Amino acid sequence: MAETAEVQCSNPACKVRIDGRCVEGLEKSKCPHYGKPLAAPASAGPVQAERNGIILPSGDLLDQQEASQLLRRGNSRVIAVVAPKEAGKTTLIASVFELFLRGPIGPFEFAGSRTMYAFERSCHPSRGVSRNARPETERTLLTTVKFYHAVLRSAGGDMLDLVVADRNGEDYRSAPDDTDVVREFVEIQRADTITFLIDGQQLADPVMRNTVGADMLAIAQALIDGGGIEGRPRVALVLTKFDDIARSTDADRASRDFEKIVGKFRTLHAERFGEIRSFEVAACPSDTSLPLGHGVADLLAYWEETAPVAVPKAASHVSSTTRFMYRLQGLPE
Amino acid sequence: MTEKSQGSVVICGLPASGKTTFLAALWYVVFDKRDLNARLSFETLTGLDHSHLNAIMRRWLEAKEQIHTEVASGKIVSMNLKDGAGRKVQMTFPDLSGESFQEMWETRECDQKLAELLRGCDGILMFVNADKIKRPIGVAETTQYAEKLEDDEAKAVATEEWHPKLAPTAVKLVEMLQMFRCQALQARATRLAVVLSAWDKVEEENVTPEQYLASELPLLDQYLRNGSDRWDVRVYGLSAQGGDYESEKVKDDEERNEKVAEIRALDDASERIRLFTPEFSRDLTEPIAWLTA
Repeated sequence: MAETAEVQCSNPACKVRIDGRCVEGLEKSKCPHYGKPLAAPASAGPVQAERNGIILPSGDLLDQQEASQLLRRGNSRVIAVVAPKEAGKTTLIASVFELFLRGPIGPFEFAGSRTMYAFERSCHPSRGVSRNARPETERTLLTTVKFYHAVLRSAGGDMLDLVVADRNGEDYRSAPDDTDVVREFVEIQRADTITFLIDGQQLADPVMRNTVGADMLAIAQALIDGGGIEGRPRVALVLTKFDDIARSTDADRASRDFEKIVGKFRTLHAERFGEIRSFEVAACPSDTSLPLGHGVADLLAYWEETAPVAVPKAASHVSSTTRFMYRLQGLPE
Repeated sequence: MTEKSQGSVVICGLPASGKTTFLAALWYVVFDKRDLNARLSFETLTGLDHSHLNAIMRRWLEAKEQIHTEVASGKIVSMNLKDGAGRKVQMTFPDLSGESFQEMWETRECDQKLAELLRGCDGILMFVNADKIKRPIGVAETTQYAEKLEDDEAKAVATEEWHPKLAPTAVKLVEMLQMFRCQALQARATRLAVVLSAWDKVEEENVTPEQYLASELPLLDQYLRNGSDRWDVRVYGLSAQGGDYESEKVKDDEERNEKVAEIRALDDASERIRLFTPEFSRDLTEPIAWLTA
């Protein structure tokens, strides 16, 4: 009994006190909210007295509502990053911040972020201070979509809110099994650019090379058939962990495999997307043969390019969360 | 009779960034030195408690390291000053622990008193120890370095869980400034003086403070230049001590002790002070005058 009474979490959405599970799927010791008093004054009660200071923004990942508020303030790009688990999704997103820590990325400069705390947490496994022997990919354990945010500015340009969605890879992996889940993928419906990741480490693996492309193409098909693609968003097909391919004795074969996957994607889906472009990226190479963030600048430039205006087409089913996003953005429901 | 106005500058920075040393040297320049060429000068002791300022100035004059400011022992100090036109101004500064600011990043909470000061201040003086900037280093770079050392012990260490305290200096500073602008704090000040302290440690690199900021804290430099939070910025390099001072923790360092003796032997204690705006100056009131102009 005593133990139950002590359980607390500053995230109002988390029911860890009731079901013992972190809403973000994190271990309790790793959750930045666990063990802290509830942030919301309405239900804080006696717990509030333990925090005498003024509660500041969490700096953590944004939920849908917070992301929508950001999108309303002006120039923005929404990026969906689609991949099964452990394809380097979070590492890729975090590498943008890691590169800004070292200077501008191509023409883009850092002008702020609402999710610095989340970026820092995600960068940790790739930093020397983690004492990892090689850069690790932190698995995304979210139970729902969350968003990273950074403000970019290029010389003489306006501010641009870059909002990058992060979702558990298992959600995307399950889409070909049951396309109904796609209805809840608000980040896909809203994305200016959908970024599909192809795991380079797996593509260089003689056993897994045949399934990597098939898995990604199946997910893309599920997103289309499940009604997730609104308008004609742009697509980035990204070969991740390119350093693993560069070191592989089968590097040429892996590159040809990637070209085949890209070719097949174009053949199958060119009409559904505004533009399809491929990239080779080593967001956090495990040795110094390639620079940190190899290929990320080109991808960021593609993300920033103005997308054609996407008018949502009538869908057989539009979820309440999607309608909520449309309302906030002034788009027809 | 000239009416006295109020001025307030929040001095912020991470632990051991030189905040208290600056206040001690400033009080020396204003009160003891009575530098007639200073932008702001002493007016009167009347009506204010100067015990904390006098105590830290004494340590500074004796070339002894300042005692670490504990979170609970933070002080708010005031000085009665006048500007070049004779206008009187009562200038208030909080001498708060660096942990107060570090906690904003780590626990996402701000002390009520600090919040009030931020909302009402005219300018912000942010201290960064130029010699203790923590930059991000990737695993690949660390591994390469460890291999060069061929040190098996260095390679075989347990992994370390993430904690916000591990963040690079630039991340903590940018977030601190973003927080000053957040809905909960709404700091009204627009002028920000970034003071790179311990400048004597980097002076021989022969770069301006702005160049040093851009090279060592690129994230902060980009954030400030791109102006999303409307900061009007000046960057200073400051050596307020002239070198390391006598330390309770380091007693047997002969080189350090010799340097301390040299500092104590200077004819004029103000010679310890080297401010770069980027032009050389010994007037520590310059940033304060600019922040409150």
